[in-house]
Amino acid sequence: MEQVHPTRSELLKRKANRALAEQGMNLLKRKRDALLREFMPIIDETMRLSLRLERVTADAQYELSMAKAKEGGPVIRSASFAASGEALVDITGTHVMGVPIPVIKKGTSSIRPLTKRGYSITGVSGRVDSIADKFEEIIDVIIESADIETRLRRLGEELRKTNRRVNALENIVIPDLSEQIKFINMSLEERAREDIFRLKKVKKALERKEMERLRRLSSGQL
Amino acid sequence: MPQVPLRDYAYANTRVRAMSARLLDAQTFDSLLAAPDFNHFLSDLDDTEYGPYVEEAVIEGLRPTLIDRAFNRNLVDNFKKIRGFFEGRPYQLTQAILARWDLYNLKTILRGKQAFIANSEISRNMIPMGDFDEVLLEEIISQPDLRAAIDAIYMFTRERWIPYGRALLDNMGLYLHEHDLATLELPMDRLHYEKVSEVTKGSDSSSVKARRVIELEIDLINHVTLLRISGMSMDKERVKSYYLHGGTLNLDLFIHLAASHDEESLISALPSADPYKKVLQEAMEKFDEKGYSAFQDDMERYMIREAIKLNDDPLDIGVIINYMWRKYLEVTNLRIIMRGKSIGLIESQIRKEMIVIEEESAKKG
Repeated sequence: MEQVHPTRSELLKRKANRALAEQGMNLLKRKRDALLREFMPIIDETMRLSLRLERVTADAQYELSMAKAKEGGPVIRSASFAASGEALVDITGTHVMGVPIPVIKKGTSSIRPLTKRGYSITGVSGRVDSIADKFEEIIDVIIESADIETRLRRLGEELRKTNRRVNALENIVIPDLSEQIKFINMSLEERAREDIFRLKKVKKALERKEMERLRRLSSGQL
Repeated sequence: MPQVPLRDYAYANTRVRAMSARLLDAQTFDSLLAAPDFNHFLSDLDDTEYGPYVEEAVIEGLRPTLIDRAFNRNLVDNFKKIRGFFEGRPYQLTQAILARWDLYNLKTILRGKQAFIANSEISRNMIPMGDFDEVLLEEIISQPDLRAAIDAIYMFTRERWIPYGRALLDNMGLYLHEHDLATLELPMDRLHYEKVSEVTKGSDSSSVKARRVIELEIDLINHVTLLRISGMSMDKERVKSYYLHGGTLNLDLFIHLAASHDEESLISALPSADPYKKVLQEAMEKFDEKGYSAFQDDMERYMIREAIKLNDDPLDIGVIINYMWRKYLEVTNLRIIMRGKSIGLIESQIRKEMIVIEEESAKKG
């Protein structure tokens, strides 16, 4: 326990601190519950998206392998040179229970019409379209996943931080303050008892002195 | 022994028949399919014609891409050897059949230059099976940018039978406006098929057969293109730009079919006399599962079957066409087995993907 001065002002200060800590703890508990309510559906969404990503990636990889087999790797690679492009991503921000969270959205869908893939459709086979569709879908799912996973990570971190704070208040700060208040109370009571005892002694001494003075007065010594 | 090029097919066809005998038989394919993994598959290839090519490739590594390149080298060597047998008209016809690889190589260079791909990577993806040899292609690849590469193509092709460079320069304005490489590739495709159709015109059986191969190629592209653009509302001019002349489908019908709402209505709208209607109807059943690959797979299977059937006269180009397609099919099936093994597919799954042409049609003639 830290060094505590057992004074009334300290007692008042500690009591005020404890009340504040209890209020903070209640607020943090409410925040934790709200974060949990936000967090749970995001976990479900993340699971759904990762399963989708796994499925589309497996499909795309299979299609790619078969297209490379049927047309030859160089032919597919050549088409990929033509189809190379950029994926536009919009990044904005929002707050959930005061937690700043980036919002990642695809600028335009990565799935391009086949006339916009940079190659002539008469010079590239239909297989390339199937692969391009699948890989462009992967880009879209990756962007969706990036958004939801960032949200999940930020909320998770905040949840852990809030939980740690609640635990610290509940198990350390408030019990410590209660202990200190109890100590100050006991010290003050002890001091009050000592004061009463001392005053009683003083009073007795004063009475004894008075009695002595009266006895001397009556015996004519004074 | 140096080969003296000939103007007739008798000697060349004998040589090609000998080359055909070296094509892998069903038993070899069965043993390759039964190989427990990718490494065993490669060792099983040791005793075949591909052995030395694979041996050379594995020095760089055991990746499927490298083995793929080894198969391509074998294909290039074989086809080049056949072309070397001829001069005059037979040479011209063989050249027309193989010219699509020139188109492929030039387009790959343009694509690579536009995407700032390293020269070495562009070179690795060349398949010098056509008129343009490695040296010429390297010269174009070594140009610093797309514009310089186009100028080089113009310079090297202006006196050739397909002046690809002219088509590129004529459409440069549109490319600079739209920055879409398709604006350069489409005119190259159109010019290519126009020229190969022109050069294969003739009434002798070899010209008719070479023309038939080109026609099959054009038909495949036109039909699959129609399926791919169905449902897109496009103006007539745009639709016309996707049409390749020289096939069995005429331009008016192509424009009419392009207005179809979806793949199914397009196939129903094909005339019943269209030989591809049945093929596409069957492919349509697999469309939901495989997408456009379903049409591509079945149309290619039909095209190869038709091409290898042309082998009915020992003294014309039919023997060469038959060999070329069977060889191409063999390499395709080897690649399917190799890729299947490398991603851990089981034998039945690999068999499902393989392109199998009935033994009878393959050996006919």
